[in-house]
Amino acid sequence: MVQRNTALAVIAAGAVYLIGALWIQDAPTGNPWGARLMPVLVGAILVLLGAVLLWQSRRAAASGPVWGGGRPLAMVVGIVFLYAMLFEPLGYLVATAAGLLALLAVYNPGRLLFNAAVAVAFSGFSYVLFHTLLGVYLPKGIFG
Amino acid sequence: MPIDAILQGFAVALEPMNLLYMLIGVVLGTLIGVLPGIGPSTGVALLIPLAYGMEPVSALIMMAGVYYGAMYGGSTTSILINAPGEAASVITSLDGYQMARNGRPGAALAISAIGSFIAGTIGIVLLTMLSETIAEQAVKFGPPEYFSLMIFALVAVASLSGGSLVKALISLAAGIAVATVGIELQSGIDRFTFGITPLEDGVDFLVVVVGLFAVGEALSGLEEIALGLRDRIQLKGPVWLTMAEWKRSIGPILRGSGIGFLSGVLPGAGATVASILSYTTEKRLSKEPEKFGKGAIEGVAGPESANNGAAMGAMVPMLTLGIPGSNTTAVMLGALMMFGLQPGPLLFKNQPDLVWGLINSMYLGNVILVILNIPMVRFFVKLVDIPAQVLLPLVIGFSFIGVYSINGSAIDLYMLAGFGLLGYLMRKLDFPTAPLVMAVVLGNMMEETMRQSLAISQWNPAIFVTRPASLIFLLMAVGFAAAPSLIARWRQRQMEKGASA
Repeated sequence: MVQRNTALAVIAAGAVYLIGALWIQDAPTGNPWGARLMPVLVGAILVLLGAVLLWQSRRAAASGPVWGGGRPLAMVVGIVFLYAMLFEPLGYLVATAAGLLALLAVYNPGRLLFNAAVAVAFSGFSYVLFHTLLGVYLPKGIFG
Repeated sequence: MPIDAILQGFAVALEPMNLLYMLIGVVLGTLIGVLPGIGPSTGVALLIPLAYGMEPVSALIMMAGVYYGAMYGGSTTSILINAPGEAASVITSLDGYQMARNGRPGAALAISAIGSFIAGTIGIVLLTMLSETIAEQAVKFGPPEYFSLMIFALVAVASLSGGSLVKALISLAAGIAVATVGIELQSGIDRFTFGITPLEDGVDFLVVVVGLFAVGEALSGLEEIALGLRDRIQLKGPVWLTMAEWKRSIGPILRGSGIGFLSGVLPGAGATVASILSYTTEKRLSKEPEKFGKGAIEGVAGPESANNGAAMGAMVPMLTLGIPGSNTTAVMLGALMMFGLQPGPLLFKNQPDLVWGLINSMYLGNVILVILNIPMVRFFVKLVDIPAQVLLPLVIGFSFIGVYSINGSAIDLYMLAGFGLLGYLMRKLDFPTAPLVMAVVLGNMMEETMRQSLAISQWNPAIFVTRPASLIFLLMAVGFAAAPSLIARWRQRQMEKGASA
C-alpha cells in the first residue's frame, strides 16, 4: 500500500514536472528544444520509473515503515519553517536563540534552564565565530 | 624533469615566510572545511582580498593550503554529524557516519587523515612527474566523453546505493530535475523559477545536501528518540585505528590515490566523481559488499584518499593548460591572473620558481596537515559524546548558518527545511539520498555537455556511441545498471541448483 502510494506520488510529481518542462520557451538560437530537452527527458523518465515502481508494488510487502515521530515531528517541522520565516525579520541572534529553545523543548523536554542556556550560548558563540571572526553575513534584524 | 627548477622550488617553499603562510593556509582550510556551508572554493575566495598585497607565490601557497586543508576538514562533519561541507565528502558520509554511530568515529577520522595525507603526497609526486604528459591526454576528452562519464558516475552511485535500483534511479532523476531550476546558461531562458528571483541562479548544492543529510538526520533522530531506538553512542575499541582496520584500508587508500589523481586531471570531473569511482571500486572489490553503507572503513579510506588525490590532480590542468579542474582551482586561476600571470605551458618556462615553489609547498603542507589533524581526532571524537537530544537541534542551527552564508537568502532556508523533510521521507521509504545529491552536483555539467555534443553532431545522438571513450563509459553505465539484477538472478539460480541437488 505504501509503495503503491509512493509510486503514484512519483508519477504525479513527474507528470507535473513534465508538463512544466513542455511549457519552457523555445531557445532563441540553435535548436528550439535546447533548453527544454533535458527537463522533458527527465520528466518522462520520472513518470516511467514511477510506473515501474507501481508495477513492482503488486509484489511489495503489505507492511510499511513504522511512523513514530507523530506530534513532536510535526512540531519540529513547524518550528524549522517558522525559524526560516523569522530569521531575517528578527535577526540571527534572536531568531536562533528562540528557534533553538523551541527545538530543544521538543528534543530535550523538561529542562528549561539548561535548554535556554544552550540556546543562548550557541547563538552568541556562533555569531562571534561566523560573523565577527569570519565575516559571514548574518541578518541583524531588530538590532539593525 | 627539470631537476634544477624543482630544487629551486623547494628553496622557495622553505623560506620562513612561505612556511608561515602554508601553516596559516592549512589551519584556516581545516577550520573552513569543518564549518558547515563554507567549502574550499569559498574559503580560497575569501582570501583573495588578503592576497592583494602579498608576493604571488606566498599567496598561492596559502590558497593551496586552504584548498587541501578544507578538503580534509570537510570529512570531519560528514563523519561526525552527517553534514558534508562539500560535494566530495558526500560519499564519505555514507560509511563514515555509520562508523561514528557504530562507536568508531576515531578510526573513521584517523583513516580520513591518513588517507588524505598518503593520497595528497602520491598526488604531488605524480603532479611533479607526469603533469605535462597527462595534461596533453586530458584535453583530448570532448563534451561527448564528459557526458558519458557523468552518466556512468551517476548510474554507478545509483547502482551501488543498495536496495531498489528503481528507487535509486528515481532519486537520481529527481536530482537532475532540481539541477534544471534556474536560468539556463546557453539560452538565458528561465526554468521552474516561478518568478522568484533568487531561484534564477539555481538551487545551490549545499542547500540540498545539508537539508537531505543534516536536517533529515535531525528529523529521523527525533523519531528514533521518540521510539526509544536511539541509544547514546558507545565508543568501542581504541580511539585510534586497530591493526585490522589499517590493513583493510591500505588497498583502498592506494587505489583511491590513483583514481583521485586521474579524475582530478579531467577538468570538471574532479573530486566528486573521484570519490564516487573510488567507492564503486572498493564495493566491487570487497568480499563483504553488504557492509558498505553500514560502516565499512574501506568506504571511508578510498573516497577520502580519492578526493585529496583529485585536489592535487586538479592542479595539473590549472598550471599546465590554464583550465581549472575544480571550482577551487577556478578561483585560484583567477588569483593567478590577478597577479598578471598567464597560466598555461609557458608558466612553467617563465615562472619556474612560482610553479615549483607552489607544488613543493604541498609536500610540506600535507605533512603539516597530518601532524595538525591526528591529535585533533581525540578532540573531535568527544563531539559524539554530546547527547543526541542536544546535538540534533544544534545541527539544525549550524545548517541554517551554513546555508544562509551562501547567498544571504531566506528562500534558501525554506528550501533547506523542505529538503530536510524530503530527506526524512526518503529514509522512511527506502529511497537512497546520495544519487539525488550527486545528480544536483553533476546535473548542470551533464546537460551542458549533452547540448554541446548535440550541437557538434547537429543533433545526432549517435555521437555518444561512435566515439570510443564515450561508448566505453556508456557500456560501463549499462553494466552497472544491469549488474544488481543479474547478480540476484545468478544467486537465485545457484540457490535453486543447490536445493535441487
